[in-house]
Amino acid sequence: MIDTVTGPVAQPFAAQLKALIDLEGRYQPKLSGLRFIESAQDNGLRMTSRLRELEIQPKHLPCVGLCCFYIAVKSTEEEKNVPLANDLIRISQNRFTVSDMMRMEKIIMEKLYWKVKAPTALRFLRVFHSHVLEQLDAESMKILSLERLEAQLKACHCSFVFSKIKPSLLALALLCFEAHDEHDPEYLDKISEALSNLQQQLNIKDGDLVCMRELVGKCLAEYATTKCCRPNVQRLRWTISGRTARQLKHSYYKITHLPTIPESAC
Amino acid sequence: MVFEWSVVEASLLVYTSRRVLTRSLLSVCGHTFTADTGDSHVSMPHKSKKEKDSSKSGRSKKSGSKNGPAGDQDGSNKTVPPATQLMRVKQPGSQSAVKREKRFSTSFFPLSANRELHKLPELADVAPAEQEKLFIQKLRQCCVLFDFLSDPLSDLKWKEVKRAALSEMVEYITHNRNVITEPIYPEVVHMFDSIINGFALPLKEEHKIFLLKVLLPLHKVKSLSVYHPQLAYCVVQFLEKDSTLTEPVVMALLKYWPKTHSPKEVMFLNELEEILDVIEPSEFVKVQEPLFRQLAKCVSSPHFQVAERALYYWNNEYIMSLISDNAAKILPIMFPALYRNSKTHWNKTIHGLIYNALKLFMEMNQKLFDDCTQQYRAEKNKEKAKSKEREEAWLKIENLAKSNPQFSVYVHSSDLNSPVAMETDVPLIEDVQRLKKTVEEGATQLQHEQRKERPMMRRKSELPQDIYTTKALESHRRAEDMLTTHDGL
Repeated sequence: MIDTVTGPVAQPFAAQLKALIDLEGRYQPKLSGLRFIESAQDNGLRMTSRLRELEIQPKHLPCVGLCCFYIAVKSTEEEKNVPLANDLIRISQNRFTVSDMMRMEKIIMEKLYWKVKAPTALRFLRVFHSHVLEQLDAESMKILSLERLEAQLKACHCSFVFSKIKPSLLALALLCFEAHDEHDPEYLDKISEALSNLQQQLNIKDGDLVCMRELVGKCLAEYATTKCCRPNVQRLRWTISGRTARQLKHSYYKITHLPTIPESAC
Repeated sequence: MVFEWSVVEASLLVYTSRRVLTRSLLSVCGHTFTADTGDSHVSMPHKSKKEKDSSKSGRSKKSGSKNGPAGDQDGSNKTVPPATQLMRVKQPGSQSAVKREKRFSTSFFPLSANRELHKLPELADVAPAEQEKLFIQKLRQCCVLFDFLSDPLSDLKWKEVKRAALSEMVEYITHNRNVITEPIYPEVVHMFDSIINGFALPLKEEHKIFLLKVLLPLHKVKSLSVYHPQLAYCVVQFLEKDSTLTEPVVMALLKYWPKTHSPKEVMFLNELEEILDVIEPSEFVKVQEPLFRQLAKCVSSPHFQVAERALYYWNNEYIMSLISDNAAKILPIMFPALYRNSKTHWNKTIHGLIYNALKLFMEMNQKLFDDCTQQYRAEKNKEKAKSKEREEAWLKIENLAKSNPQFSVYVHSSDLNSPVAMETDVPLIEDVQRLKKTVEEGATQLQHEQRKERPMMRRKSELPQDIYTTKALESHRRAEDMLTTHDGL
């Protein structure tokens, strides 16, 4: 939460920003790890050998993934919003048990030295957003809707390419991309100014920002498509009760058939 | 119902001459025909026109060939001719395990084991109350199979009984009203199968009327479960012959959908899925909205088998392709039911299936899914705000009442704390004393027992571990705590 300041952009913001950036650097995942996860679609020896480097057995990968998700949820959400481990396992259609998951969780926490509160792109987005809006007047609430930005961020998170970049860069790129939609010149100037200030404070190069904005644009265009694809039914597990399973056969097989009486033979 | 049955009879007569009616009765009985009938046309559930190779992946099919007219029935045996396996006139060529065609050609028929028929009284000679039962008995007699082809002189006496019974029945139907009653429906529906299968294309108008006025209303009958598979199969056959009938059929099914949550819904869901398996995409679009509104209700049904059966539709590839082509219309209808039940359903199987359905929707179009989520949340918040407003209004009224100087005259202070009485009469003081005594005794017994045994641990079944339930259980006050104080009762 940012303390609202009534005066001009005060020191607290800059200090806070610096703290977040430092933290961000420490939590940035190693490229090697990311490359590995990306290629996890492939099967075979390549994956097995890489896994050995990282000391994970292939069969544990789903468990690792789910545990990381679980840890992330627990560190950011209120207790009442945290789903039960059992439910998570069922939803992800995994076959390990809750105790497996608890053990894995402990291992992961140890490897992370129990430090899990990383600054996320969402956090940066909110910080930047309120900071920018402060520099416009109170009427500017309608501009740069945070709700819309968060929805766009969610869409970007589903694209693996964004996992490789710094959260602060992604947040800024989103803001810049959205700001481009702003047509009112009065606001546009002010926003642009605020954003370029931010860019400087973050030490982001122009080239990087432009590149990122393009990626964001592509991702959002794909997200907004009205095309519906055929989902893959067979990838999922369908567990049903015995009683229902027995009733599934086509009615053709449930009845005895008599010889057809062709109509013309009347 | 009475009206509909005379329609059934009328229809049976209108487009079938008396000769064909005889034939249909004969067909029930598996009688052999003379050569002019030709070989019957065998039809399997027709799937080839759409890519539906894996549409049955979820269905359990019976393996191995079946040997004859008897026996793979679900439910009661009233619907089939008696089991007849022991002697065969000819080995049917169509008995390959691969094709599993069970429809025999008319010249290949196994003989009944027990062919001894005794002459029953005439239908005209018995009281009207007995006629229905007698009719069924005669029908059963006619289901006994004789050999007319290779051994025409065998069993002459019994063949005569059968022949006479057949003629009499045809006569009886022709000249009487309201004779086909509910117990006879299974037999009648059984006959329809072979008639419908023989319809020539394009379908005659009278056949369409038969579908709409006879077959569809048959779904309303209480004893539907006895003949539902046959009925469903007939309906699907009709739609395979003429897909323009889809809309009236689906709308009728939705109209006749069981209103109270019952196992009958599962039958309707079975039939509906078979209809969807053969539906044309252009017809699907016409019925999708009311159809999925009903499916949304089924998915939310407290009857878990209904919910399960409805959710299993999402394992049908053809249905999924239809849905994904029309997701923009369908997802907003299904989403609230799915989302709501993903949070609140107690049954683990249903829970898993709901998530499968949600995942498939997510895969179809992410933005559509997110929009639906957002809309759902907005509606939920609106509802919450409204109910909060309502509560505050009631509180205001209560406070207003309290500030009235006449308040204490009408309201006793004790009434405010005790539970609201359901009856309008105040209980007698003796009853209250008696009740108090019983409860106290019961409570002390409970205390005693609890001190004796260790708390029981559930081992057999897992309790749902909803956080709210757990918290509610923890904060629940025990009976003995409450009864040690003496206010209230």
